[in-house]
Formats: sequence, C-alpha cells, structure tokens
Amino acid sequence: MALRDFWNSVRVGAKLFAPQAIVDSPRLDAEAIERALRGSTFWLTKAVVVGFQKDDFSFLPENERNRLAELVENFREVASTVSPAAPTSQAAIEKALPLFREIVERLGFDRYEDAEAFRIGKLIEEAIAPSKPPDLAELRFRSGLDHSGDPALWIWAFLTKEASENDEEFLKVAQKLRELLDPIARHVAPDRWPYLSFRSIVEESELVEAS
Amino acid sequence: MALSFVSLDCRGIRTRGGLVSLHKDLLVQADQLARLGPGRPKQSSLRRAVSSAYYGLFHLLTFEVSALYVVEPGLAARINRTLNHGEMKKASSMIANNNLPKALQPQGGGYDIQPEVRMVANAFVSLQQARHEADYDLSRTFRRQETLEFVQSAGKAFATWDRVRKTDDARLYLACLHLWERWNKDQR
Repeated sequence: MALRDFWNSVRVGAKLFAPQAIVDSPRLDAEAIERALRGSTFWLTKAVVVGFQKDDFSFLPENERNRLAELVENFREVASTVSPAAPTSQAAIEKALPLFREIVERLGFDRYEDAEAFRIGKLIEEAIAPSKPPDLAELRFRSGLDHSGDPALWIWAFLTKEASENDEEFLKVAQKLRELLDPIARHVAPDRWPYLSFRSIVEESELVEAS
Repeated sequence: MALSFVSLDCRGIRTRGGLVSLHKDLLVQADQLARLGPGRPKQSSLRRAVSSAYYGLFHLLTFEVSALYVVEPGLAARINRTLNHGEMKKASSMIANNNLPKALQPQGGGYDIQPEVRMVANAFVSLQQARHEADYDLSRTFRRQETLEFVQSAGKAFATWDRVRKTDDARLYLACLHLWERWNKDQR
C-alpha cells in the first residue's frame, strides 16, 4: 500500500497523470520532466513523497534502492524549509528540482503504468539483464485485471530498429523474445497471466490513420 | 501477398462434409488484413486482423471438440454452440499452466501435460484477450508488426495443433474445453 501511495503522490505531484495506455505513452526524458516541473512549484512539498519507505523497494537492486532513499530524504529536507504561506524561493526550487526530477525519472512513468507494474517490471528486467537480447530495446508494463476479471500483467517488448527493418526478422526475434519472457514473467508473478505484445521502437512514433 | 507464417499444410486442414474450413479461412484473412495499407494501416483493419486470428483458433478448437463426438455437420454445429469463451479460457489457462481439473489429477500429482498442447492453450488465452482489446478497447492503438505477431502466434498454434491433435493430451484438452467446470468441482 505504501509503495502505491508513494507512486501516486509522485505522479500527481509531477502532473504526470496516467496515460490512456502506457504502450502509447510518449517518452519522458530529463528535459521533458524538468520543463513540466518548472511550470509550477506545487510539487515542492513533503506530501509528494508521502508513503515512501525504503523497505517497500526491496525488489530493487541495493544501489538503486539506496539512491532513491537518499533522493527522497534530501528532497524532504528541502521541502521542509518551504512555507506554505510564503512564495517559494528560487534557491529552494533550484535545490529541489534536480532531486525530484531524478525521483520521477527513476519511477519511469512512461514505462510502468502503476506501482505493481513497476515492482514486477523491475524484477523481470533484472532477471533478463544477464542475457538481455541485443534486439530488445525496451519493455513496458501494466498490471490489472483482464477482460474476464483475472489478475494479469501486460508486457510490451519494443524491438530495435535493426530487428524491425523487415517483417520476417521482426517476427523471428519476437518469437524468441516470447519464449524468453513468458516463463520469466510466470516465475516472477505466478498469480498473473502474462500478456505479451511486440512492437518496433521505430514504429512507435509512426502515425496511425484513424479509422 | 506473403503468407509466410500462415502457410498451413493443406493436407493437415480438415473439412467436414465438404464444408469450407472456416478456421483456416479466418487465419488467412487475419494475415491479409494485417498487411493492408502497409504505410498507414487503418486501425479497423488491424483490429479485425487480431479478432480474426483469435476466431480462427477458436473455431479450430470447437471444430475439434465436436469431432470428438460426431461427424454429421448439423450435430457438430449444435455441439459447437454449447462451448463458451469463458470456460474455454479458464480451461486453457489451467492447461497452459500444466494443471489438470481436480477430477483428473493423479493422486500425489505429477502429471505433465505435453508442452505442445500447453503452447496451444497459452496462445488461445493470449489471443482471446488481444481480441477483446481489439474489439472493445479504444484507449490503445494496434501497430502493424504487433498485429502480425498475433497472427503469427495463431498460425503457430494451428501448426502445433496439427502435430499433436491425435495424442491423449490433445484430446484431454478438448474435453476440458467444455467439461472444465464439471471436472474441476471438489470431489466427494
């Protein structure tokens, strides 16, 4: 629960509301996040990191978990100097912004649609890391209930430009990735049915004519 | 038009009473729809391709279920109508995860369902969800190669099924598709 609270607080604070569908979500880079954060300073409050507990992130590698905890602690420190009754000083903004931006970046709202997807997604990514196929550019995750109400996990695998240049190669690589990801997803989240889809990292930005 | 992954061996495609093989036609149609307008495919074409791929596999399996009992097409059609998507999904997800219904589990467990049968069951569950999203979920888009992969998945399920359809595990899976609820009740 605390993980979900923290996740939602940061998302709302950064005004990065849930996209229509994570698979179609635009990429978030540091610049885009900073631009969004400079638009207002409503995020500069301790409330945006409410619910954070380091132990909730036991699924992250130790260095990532420690870095997140450090960022949150430092951010809280700066936020505690800001008075809700007075204008926020530029110095406080400049100090807090890189911290909050990195927190937002680390939660990957453009790749994990929800807190549970973040947890499972991180575990899956860690499991494939030692043998990550070079044709795999990126994974995106969503958790929820499928059309019949059963717990499910959606995984979108984006293939590199090289692996997507022709359909034959794309399908061959997708088949290999399906065989790799399906058992890992079932192992990491045995209570969720893994629904896998494959896209090209290039085709992602291609226009699709409305029907 | 390329049909690289739905080029089924026609000798393996069964018809009943001279009827056209609906399941095969649906699979071919799915491939054709997925390749329409390669530059800027219409969402309607891609969504119908995903739906046809699922229904191709659905009709292949219902065809085989009724063939367990009868040859006469009219009777077979009536048996097919007794099958429902929900129970077929439930049975398929259990079979794909290597689980038999309670009534058929050996004491102490330890029965491994043939991997090829589990692969077909897995494809059925995944395609059913994709079909649901294609038909009803307008919040997401479908891409051309993504759609082709769904069609490939159905095509592979067809080809795999053709290799194993005469095995006990395959027949057991077919029976589970319409007897799952009954066979999975707690035994007295």
